[in-house]
This record gives sequence, C-alpha cells and structure tokens, in this order.
Amino acid sequence: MAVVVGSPRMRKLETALIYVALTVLVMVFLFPVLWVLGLSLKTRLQVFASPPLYLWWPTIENYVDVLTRSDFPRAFINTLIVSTSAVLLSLCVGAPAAYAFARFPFKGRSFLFFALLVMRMLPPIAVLVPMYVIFSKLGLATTRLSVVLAYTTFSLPLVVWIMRGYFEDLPVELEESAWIDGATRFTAFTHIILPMARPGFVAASILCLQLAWNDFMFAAVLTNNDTQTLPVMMASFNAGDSGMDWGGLTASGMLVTLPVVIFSFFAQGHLVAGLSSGAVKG
Amino acid sequence: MAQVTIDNVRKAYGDVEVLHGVSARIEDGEFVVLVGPSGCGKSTLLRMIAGLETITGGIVRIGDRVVNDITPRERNIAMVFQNYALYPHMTVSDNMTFSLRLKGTSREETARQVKRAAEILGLTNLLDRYPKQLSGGQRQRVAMGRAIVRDPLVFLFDEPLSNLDAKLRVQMRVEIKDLHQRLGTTTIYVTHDQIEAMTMADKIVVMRDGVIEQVGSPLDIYDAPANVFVASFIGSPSMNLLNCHYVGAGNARTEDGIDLPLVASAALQDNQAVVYGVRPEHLTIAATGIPAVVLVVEPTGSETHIFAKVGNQDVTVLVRERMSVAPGDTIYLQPKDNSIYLFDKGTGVRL
Repeated sequence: MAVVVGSPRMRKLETALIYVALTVLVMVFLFPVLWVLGLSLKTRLQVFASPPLYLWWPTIENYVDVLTRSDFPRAFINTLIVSTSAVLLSLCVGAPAAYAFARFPFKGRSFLFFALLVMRMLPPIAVLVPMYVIFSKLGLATTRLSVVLAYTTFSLPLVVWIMRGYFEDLPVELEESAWIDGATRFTAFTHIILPMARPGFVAASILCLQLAWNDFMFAAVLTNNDTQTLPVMMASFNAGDSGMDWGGLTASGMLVTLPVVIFSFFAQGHLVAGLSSGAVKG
Repeated sequence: MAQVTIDNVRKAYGDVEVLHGVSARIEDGEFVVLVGPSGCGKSTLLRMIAGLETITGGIVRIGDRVVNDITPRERNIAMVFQNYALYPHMTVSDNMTFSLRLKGTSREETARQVKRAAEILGLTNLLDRYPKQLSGGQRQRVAMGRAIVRDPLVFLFDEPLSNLDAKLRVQMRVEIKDLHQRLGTTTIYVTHDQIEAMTMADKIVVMRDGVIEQVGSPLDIYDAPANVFVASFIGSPSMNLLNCHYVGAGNARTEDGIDLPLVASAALQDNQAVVYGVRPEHLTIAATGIPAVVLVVEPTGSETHIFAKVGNQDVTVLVRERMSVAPGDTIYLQPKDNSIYLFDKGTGVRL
C-alpha cells in the first residue's frame, strides 16, 4: 500500500525538502557575496592559488591596508555626504510633490506624473554627457553638489511614485479632521500625513540610498580626486603597477556594502505595514 | 454656541447641481438632524457648513458671521466623521488635545479639558491607548471627546453610528443625546436612518434630491407629513400608500375595485387620482373592512408585522395583540379614525 498522504513521516520529509530548497536558493543568491568575502580574507598568494583554496587561515591584512590608505576615509565621507544629501533632497522635494499629485486634481496631472518617469527610462549614459556640460558651465563640475543633483534626478521620480501611493491610501477624513481641529494644510501634512506615511519614506529612502551609494558612472565623470566616492576609489585598485589588487578591491567592497546593509536592516523594522490600521472603521 | 443659518445654498460640481437652493435655520442649542436617502445632499450640506466643500451659491452663517469664505479651522466647529478619523499615530489623549495644542492652550488648561471630556465619555482609563487598541464604540467616544474638548460653536456629526453594530448604535444614540442635553451645544447630525432622526432630533430636516422636503419636530413630521416622500420615509414600518381614485360619498377605490373608507371631503373631485396613506399601526383587524390577503407574518415579540396584499398593492399591518393569522388568510382591515392621509397622485403633496 502507498503511504497515506499527510502522514507524519511525509510531512517531515516535506518540511526537510522545503528547507533544502531554501538553503540552495540562499546559497545561489549569496554565493557572489560569500566569494568576495572569501577573497577579501586571503593573502595575495592565496587569491591566485589554483585550484582555489576552500579552507585557509583568514587574514585581515587587506582590511588594514584599505582602512589605512589615505583616500579611503575621504571617499567614504564623500559617499556618505553625497548619498544622504541626495536622499534627503529627493524626500524633501518629492514628498510634497507626491502629495500634490495625490490630493490636487490639477490639469495635466497624469501626463506630468508619467513624464517624471522619462528620466528613468533613458539610459543613464545618455544624460551623463549633457549633465557634465551643464555642470561645467555652472561651475559645478567636480563638486559634490553636482553629484547630489545628478542622483536626485534619478531618485526624485522614485520618491514621487512611491509616496503618491502612500498618500492616496491615507483617508482624506484624517486631514479634514485636522483642518477642523485648527490645522492649516501644511500643519496637517507635517503632523498627520507625514508620520503616517513613514513606511513609504523608509521604502523610498532605502531605494534612493542604494541608487546613490552604489553609483559608479556619474561619480566617475562628475568628481575629482578630492570629491570622488567609494565606487570610484575602488576602481583605482585596478590601476596600480602590480595589476589588479584583488584583496584590496574585495575588502573595500565589503566595507562599502556594510553601511547599506546595516541601514536597510534597521530601516526594515519601520516598513511594517498597517500603521494606519485603526484610524478608520474597525 | 451659536445658531446656524443656511440661506438659499447651492452646490454644483461642474454642470451637475446637487443642492438646489436649500434654506434652514438651526437655533442656538438645537439638535437638528438632516435625514434623507443616500445622494440627497445631506452630507454635502454638512460639509459645506464645516467648510470642507466650497459653497456654489447662497450664504451660510454661524452665529452672525458669514462663513462662506472662511477656512474650516477658523469656523470654531467640531466634526465627528463616519469613520471616526482618529489620528492612528497618536494616543487617545493626544488625539483629543491636538486642537488645543495647535491653539497653544496652556498645559494645565489642556489637562483640565481632557479630564473633563474623558470623565463625560468614560475614557479616563483609555487615555494612553492608541486607536487601534480600541473597540468601535470606544473609538466613537474618542471622536466625540475630540469634539468636546474644543468647546466649539457647533457640533457636526456625519453619520457617526453607521459603522457600529445594531446594539451599540442604540447605546451610542442615547449617549449622544445625553451629551447634547448636558452640553447644550448646537448640533447638526446627518443620518440616513429615520429612527436616529426621530429619536434624537429637536428638529428634523428631511431632504431628497438636493431639496428640503420638510422641516419640523419629529412628531410633527410623523403626524403631518407634507408629501408622499416624507410619509414613506419617516416611520417604521413605513406608511402604506395605496393608489386609488376618489369616487365620492366618502370612498376611494383602488384599480382592483376595492373600496377604501374616507371621511367625505369637499376638496376632492370625483375620479381624482389620489394616494391613500395609512400607517401600519393605525390599521386594525376587524370582521369587516378592507379585504387583504396575508403573505408573510413576522412576529417580533412585542408586536407582529403582517405583510398582505390589498388587490395587487402591498400593505403592512402592525398589531400588538397575539392573533392566529397564517399566510393565505383573508383579513379585513379598519383604519382608525382620523388616521388617513390623502396625497395628490401627481404632485405627491398632502391634500
């Protein structure tokens, strides 16, 4: 006789299979990261060992090298300034814009809303050269501001698209109630709407931060040695006399990834949906 | 506290006019209920008084002040919404004091007002909770508390009980009425439920399709409906309305040739088409009278509703005595004296 479906043994087997599948999946996704992590913990000789070393005594010399380089801390600070500025600027401009799209039925609303996306449809390289020319004419080339503005052109539509949805989902009565309570439209926006749209802000800022933090192309063209960001600095590991510095490259890669991972990890706690539950009805 | 005057107020969305020149006067301290079927413009009118909708034409006054172009925050009103509209990220206490904080009221005064409102509404133990931790009835009370602490000129209620279950609705009805009696604040209350209107109002404004059909005290409207619409809308079960024509000699006759008893009226002409109205509770079952065939019998305990047909027209009878009536039986109905309403068939106006 066949085993009865749903018997304890079958169910145990099922659970085990699910875990095996999940483990394989996670391995596939994380393999590149693990490989980079592995390389960053190897000496130069170990990196080039053939066949590759799968077990070795890890070394932190690459990390020490990277962190003691003169240009790493500077690039790190540049990246931090440029990325957070781009995110903040996008949120400050994008949130009110999204609110306007969500609440005011003005003429040409759908066209404008769609037009915002055009920037994101163009291949970045298509706007890079004109951007460089414009920034040069304005005397902004190689400044951090130019990079911030460039990133904002990309993340702003993202913020507007995400936040519009959040604002539209918030019941209008909450605002109306606030107006009657004596709030101006602006006060109602800052005191009622913004706190409730927090999950939207978190989602939007994670996406914007990743765009800005990881960008290489814009920063490569729009910065110089003083204003260069981490991805640009990392490219210099390829430029030495001794060829590609794999250890340095992978170690700095891990260091670059770390802040975004930490930020996203803590931010996701705020992504909890249903914050607005209980506002209206049962 | 203040009276509210609505003078020939119109509202149009583009080419579509939804309020066709509405006028009403709400006295200082009065509890007025705007009632009507959905889409009659009652909520729109309330929102215009609140300042949440622009006024296309006419004048709205709160006290002596014309408020047409005044923002909601400057009108000194409080509003309770159907869905409560509590701020979910604020505690009950913060919800109630939001308006006071915006006004810059002192901390002691704010605390005093919250204490007072919480005591009136029985919210004292819930002040630190968030809206999502409250039941429907508690949320409703917080919404009212938010209105009370303001000490406004006018309370506006927009179908506040629609989201509550039947039992709680009855309880909150009593609480709101009690609250009004204690505070004496002018109140405008919108509902589609005629029972809420009847039980709570000092004055009812019956609306339909953007016009006011009748204004009066609950019992006035019940006893003397101005037209067929008001007659059918107010009262539960609603008034029986039979199409017939006057045949003279104190009788009206339905299309099926059934005679309905009337007091002879000089105002009627022979063969004039009329609507014969009689409330279910004003019909008694007798040995002779209007013949009706029973369709359904609904006992509710204290009273029994009998749904029957007079010819091909529906009739409801409400009886308090227990009687053995079964579907298919023929019963004979006698209207009580002076309980018959006649309406013009064409205009619907009471004759």
